[in-house]
Amino acid sequence: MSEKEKLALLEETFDVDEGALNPEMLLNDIDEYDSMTKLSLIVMVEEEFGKKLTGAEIKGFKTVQDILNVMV
Amino acid sequence: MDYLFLTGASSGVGRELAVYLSGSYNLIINGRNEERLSETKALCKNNVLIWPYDLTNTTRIEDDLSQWIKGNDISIVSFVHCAGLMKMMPLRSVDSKILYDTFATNVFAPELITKVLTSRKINGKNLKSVVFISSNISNRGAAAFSVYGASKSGLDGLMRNLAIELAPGVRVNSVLPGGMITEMTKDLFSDENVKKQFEMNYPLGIGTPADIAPAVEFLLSDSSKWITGQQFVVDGGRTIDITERNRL
Repeated sequence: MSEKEKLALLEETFDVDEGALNPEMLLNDIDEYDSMTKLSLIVMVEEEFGKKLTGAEIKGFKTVQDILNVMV
Repeated sequence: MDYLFLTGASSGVGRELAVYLSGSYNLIINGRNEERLSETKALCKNNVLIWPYDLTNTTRIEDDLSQWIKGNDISIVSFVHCAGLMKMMPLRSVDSKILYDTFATNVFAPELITKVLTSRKINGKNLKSVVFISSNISNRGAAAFSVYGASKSGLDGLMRNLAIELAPGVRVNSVLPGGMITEMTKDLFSDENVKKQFEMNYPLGIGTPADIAPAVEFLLSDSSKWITGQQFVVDGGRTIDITERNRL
């Protein structure tokens, strides 16, 4: 999956407009990155990449790139 | 020979219920995984038969279960539906597949199984008592629980309607547990913060399946012969608590 496709998936998960996310963005600066988004992220990563994210992993995410890195 | 039919017996609450109830009943245990059911059987007393079956197969379950019961020449006096699919999922992640799978396991299967077990041709008038393992979310609400919560409300609706339709021959009740430490959730509770949060939210502390098993046994037994159509909440006081605990 290309980075563009992964970003599109993330934008769907975050429920933000197409093109609203880029890898350098800090998650803390994104209003939509709340507890429901984190849960949606767990569901998406499990469904698309077959991995179960742990609470510790999610706490460790600082940028959009950090999330892209586990989407493999 | 008289049997109790128990779904969801390959792990967690279902496995512990199997072990507990095997002290007083012969069991038919159901789950998807035959190997794990065999492990459950090895922990049980009395006679235990295994019926490995995927309960989401709702188009075939009536025929397959009917054939299996006829083939084994058994009578079933009690039914406990413990199988349950729970996935925390915000609304935006919900799709028709998770809705179908959850409702198939949590609502459609117990209705179709009860239908088979009350069919005179298949099980005579042997069935006396049914207990559904619901959840304390059934009458409440929580974020990311719309699918599971709706399914458990549906299960309790099924319970009440069957209680009336099947009276006086069959009693139907449900047990509504709170969060428990089980095989499935023990990883969750290994996180100190989660454990602390739970301890704060449960006036009687965190429960285990051993805490709900006696309630199930009571509702199955003649001790509850004038009780039907009821939700029995066994959740350590979780859902009646209106204390603002973070202020204590």
